[in-house]
Amino acid sequence: MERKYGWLMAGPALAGFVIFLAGPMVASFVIGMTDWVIGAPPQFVGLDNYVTMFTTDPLFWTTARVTLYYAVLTVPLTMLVAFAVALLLNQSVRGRNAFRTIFYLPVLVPGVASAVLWLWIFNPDYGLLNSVLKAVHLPTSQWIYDPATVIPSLALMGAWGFGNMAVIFLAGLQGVPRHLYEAVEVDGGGGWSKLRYITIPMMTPTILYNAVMGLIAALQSFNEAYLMTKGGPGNESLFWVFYIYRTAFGESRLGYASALSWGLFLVVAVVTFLVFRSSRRWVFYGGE
Amino acid sequence: MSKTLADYQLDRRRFLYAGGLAVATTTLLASCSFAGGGGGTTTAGTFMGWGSDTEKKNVGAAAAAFNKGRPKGDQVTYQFVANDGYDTKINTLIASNKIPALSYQSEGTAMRLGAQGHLESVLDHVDKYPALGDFLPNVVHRWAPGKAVTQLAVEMFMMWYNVDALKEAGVPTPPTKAADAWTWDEFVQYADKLTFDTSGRHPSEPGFDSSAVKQFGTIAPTGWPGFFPLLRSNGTDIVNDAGTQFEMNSDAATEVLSKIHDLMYVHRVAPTPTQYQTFSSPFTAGLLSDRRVAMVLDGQWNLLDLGSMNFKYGIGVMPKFKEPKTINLCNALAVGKGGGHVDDALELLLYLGDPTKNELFAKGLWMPLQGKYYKNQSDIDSWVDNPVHPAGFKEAALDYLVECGEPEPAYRVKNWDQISNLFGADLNEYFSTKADVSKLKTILASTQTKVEPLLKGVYPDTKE
Repeated sequence: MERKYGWLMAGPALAGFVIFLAGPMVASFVIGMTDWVIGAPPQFVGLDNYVTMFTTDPLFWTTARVTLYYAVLTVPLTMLVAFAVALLLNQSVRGRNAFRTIFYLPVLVPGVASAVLWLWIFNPDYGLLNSVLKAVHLPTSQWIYDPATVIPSLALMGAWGFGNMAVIFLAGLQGVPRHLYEAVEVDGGGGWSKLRYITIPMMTPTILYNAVMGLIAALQSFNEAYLMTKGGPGNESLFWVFYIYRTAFGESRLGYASALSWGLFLVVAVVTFLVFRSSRRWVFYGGE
Repeated sequence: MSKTLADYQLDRRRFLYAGGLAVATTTLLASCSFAGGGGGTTTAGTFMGWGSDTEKKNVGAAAAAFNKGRPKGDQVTYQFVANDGYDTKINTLIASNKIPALSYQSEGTAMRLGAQGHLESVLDHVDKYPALGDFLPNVVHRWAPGKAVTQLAVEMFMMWYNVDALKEAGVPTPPTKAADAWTWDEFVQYADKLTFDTSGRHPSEPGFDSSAVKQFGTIAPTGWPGFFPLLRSNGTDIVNDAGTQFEMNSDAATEVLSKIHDLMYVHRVAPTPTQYQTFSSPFTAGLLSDRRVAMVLDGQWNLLDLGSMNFKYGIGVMPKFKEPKTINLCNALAVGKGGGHVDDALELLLYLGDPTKNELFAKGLWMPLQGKYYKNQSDIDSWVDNPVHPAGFKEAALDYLVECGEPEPAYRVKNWDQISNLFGADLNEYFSTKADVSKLKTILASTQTKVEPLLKGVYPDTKE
């Protein structure tokens, strides 16, 4: 009886996994081996799409460069902001819960609303950032309208949504044993020593988690390109997922778009593997 | 009875089998949906289109009027889909072999679907519907000899201006006859007179502040529908006739593109793309009525908005390089093959294209497809004789289109969507910053190497 109920209860989740995740993944792998253009019968082309991707596709290396550049900028930046905010929120100050809520709010803003808001913030003429810079007589920027600054600008926007990471850091900070700080105090260490020798080493597993999740999310960015830049100026914000979308639904080349999806999957897997691999050298688990 | 470890192992094995089977089934199902290929079935009586709210309202009303009195089985249901999601929706429908009876299609998609066997050729129905035979030659696009799709309507580029702005600056009224079209230099000279900063200085005067421009002379036509007629005017094209060579790297094309660039960065009579982003109303009608810009090279469809505004606007022909040229462009209105609604769809296609039944012609959004609406005075009056269409419209639009209208390349050139994405992004980069001609040449040389492998020839298009 228990066995039957077990299957019954797990059924919806398993069905969902198979129908919406594993099935489509296998299907997209199969489709990626064809030259399917929507409307025409597909031909099996083996690995041709992957060969095209690495050799003749004029946009593939651009999209790969742009996406990785964005991830490399936005993830450390977001983590830095989130860590700093989490440290502050971990202090016992009045209205701590209110601050925690306020800092988390940007995460709750829907993607489209956030994009519209940031379009205004980035507006070179009447936007918030340039207005502030002008007011303090600093040079202004074209932000997302200049090929050179579009990715750093979007990375900045990405860092605005640091709330999730901050909450996770905060949970991690609360798990750091008090007695370790007391030991530093006994040895005459100050705030910096506590941060350098206790907080950061004890937080490395949380840092690893946030880094991995942040990288995966950044490599899958889409909204910014779709809603704000359309991949431009030039192709300087042609994010990989946006390129997949445009190839599939703008150009109807589903076979190639599926291959591009698998390309991204592999990159995400490799990047994640490398981060995990490197973690042996810098992540400290309390028990070790 | 308590379970042993062996039971669990069996369960796991079963689970793996079940999972594997389910994955295989899903894959098979997903794969089957695209195995059908050409000649799909039609969703019963659906007419799918995109557009603005006004277009939605008017097309919806025309479709409702069309259905009135028709037997239920011969009715066509209008389904509006927002522009952004249209391609996704139509691709999904086609992938599952459900093409609507009648649908808006972007140019490249229409030709591809025709060639794939999903569309009914309008040319096969001329005997039954003689009005189809009167369509202007440039609006019938052949994906193969004798097999064609038609445009939804006729649309074209021209010059729009704010009458008072030109009068105050002492700029002559732009010509409405193609033969009198301004040269590019004249256009730039007048645009300079029409551009002034908050201190009233023009760009050609010392001290002009390009960061505080009150009124711009014009907008740089940086998108291909805007610069294509200028390329044709200078004797060149985006892609050569055979669809095998990228022509924008030619001297004639770089001359045109660099002169468009100069409007923003040398003559400073047009906003840069970033300045343009800052306009509160970045649409032609709003720009002209607010006098942020005095003259705009843009489509005739702006009449729809201009007609409801309270200021004096005028039209003229576009400036020229060598020959006066404009572009005839519009997406396709495609009849889906099969599904038993071909006649209903064709009748609705003709109904929507009839200015006496569809208000969008008199309101200015569309121009008719049939030749008689350009030739016979009473037919011309049926859609032009109203306060929305300004004086000179017949010369600056109808005659100009018939004499100088070049069919847009999007129907003719195979692989257009991919090609236009490539050169569009490269030019976007060029137009977004200050750059000289050598930079343009470097960019276009690189564009050429990217585009040419994708050139797969042309469809017969408007050639019989």
